Amino acid sequence: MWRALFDKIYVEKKALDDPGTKEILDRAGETDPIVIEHYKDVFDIKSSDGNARNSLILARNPGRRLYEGAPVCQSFGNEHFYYSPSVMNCIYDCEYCFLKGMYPGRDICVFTDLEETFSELDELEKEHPAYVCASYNTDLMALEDLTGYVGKWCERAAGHENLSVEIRSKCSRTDIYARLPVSERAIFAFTLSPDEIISRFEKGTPMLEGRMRALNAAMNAGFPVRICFDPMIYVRNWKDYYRNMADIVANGTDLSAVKDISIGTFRISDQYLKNMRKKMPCSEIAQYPYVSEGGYYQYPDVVRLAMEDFMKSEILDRCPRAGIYDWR
Amino acid sequence: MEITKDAVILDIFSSEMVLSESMKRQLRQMCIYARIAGIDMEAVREALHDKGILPCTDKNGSKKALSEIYAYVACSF
Repeated sequence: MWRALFDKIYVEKKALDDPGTKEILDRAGETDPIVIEHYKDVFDIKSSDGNARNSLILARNPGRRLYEGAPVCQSFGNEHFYYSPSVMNCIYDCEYCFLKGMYPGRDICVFTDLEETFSELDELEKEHPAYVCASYNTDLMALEDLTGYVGKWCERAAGHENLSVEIRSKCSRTDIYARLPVSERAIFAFTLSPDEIISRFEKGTPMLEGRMRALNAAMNAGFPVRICFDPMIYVRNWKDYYRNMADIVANGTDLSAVKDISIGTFRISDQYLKNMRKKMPCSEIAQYPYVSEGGYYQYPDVVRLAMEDFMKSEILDRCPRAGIYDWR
Repeated sequence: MEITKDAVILDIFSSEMVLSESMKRQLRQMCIYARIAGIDMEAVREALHDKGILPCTDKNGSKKALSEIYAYVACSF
């Protein structure tokens, strides 16, 4: 399956003998990868035909393994909030995703030295509790059969009291949760969107019903589950779409049992938006005339607040005890 | 062809307003988005004429017109 998904598979020369590399090549069914000097030799090259190229690159991470969260990231009250770029880029193709503004193409680069990230965490955890978004530059769960990283992060969280991990996903698989080490510090966060938004802007991702099944599987296995109505997208008839979604979600799961619910509208750094506008001249999302606030583009207050308040009230109408995380 | 259409609409609006380069850039972005989102800029222009906001001959009036156009284009769904 994985071999069919990628046009080519590349491996950095210095990562060739890493156990992580061998494991992933086995899973991908690749015995003869193309050897390269540095992942950037492929990853940083723009395709001549836009985003068409789709390769897998296995490499060692030459830079930082943990980054402090950006201001637009939601830290959920965690003072020491980091994200780990153990995989760069995503198999899904969401039109609004900041990765489109961040990376030149659609190649996926997996850093096979996850153990090095864990070594850095050893030091951090000695100093203070750490909260790590492990699925920030990718959808880690969608790649789990290739990398096994969700399992590794869950194992790590289960054995380290000073570490909490968030795995954010749109993936609909349900078979894995019962097999993962359960911990209250491994939080599965599901991005939920109305089907109309999924069909138009979240290409290749499971529909809402599938994500709900996965969310329930994670909750039934004993994991804390976060629901993210984020990013909400402003389109014609948005109220109808998000109201219908609130019905489906409230009928499909016990919202009072969800750890928390996060609500947010689309926002993005100015440089990423500039790149996205160049890449996607006909994108309704990229071409919206956003307002700029401190280096970030967002909807004007009249739109942003209306959407966030609407979603909050739709959820609370259906479940007054729902734990909505308030960012304001 | 679509880019030409944006330019034509921008020219029509510009001929009835006093725009700085920055205001013109904002208006251009609104025209692009309006076309993609299926918002009829000719209807927006007519509405502004009906309200007496367009045409305008000074910068202050144009700022007001620009913010009215923005409300139609970016906040009316």
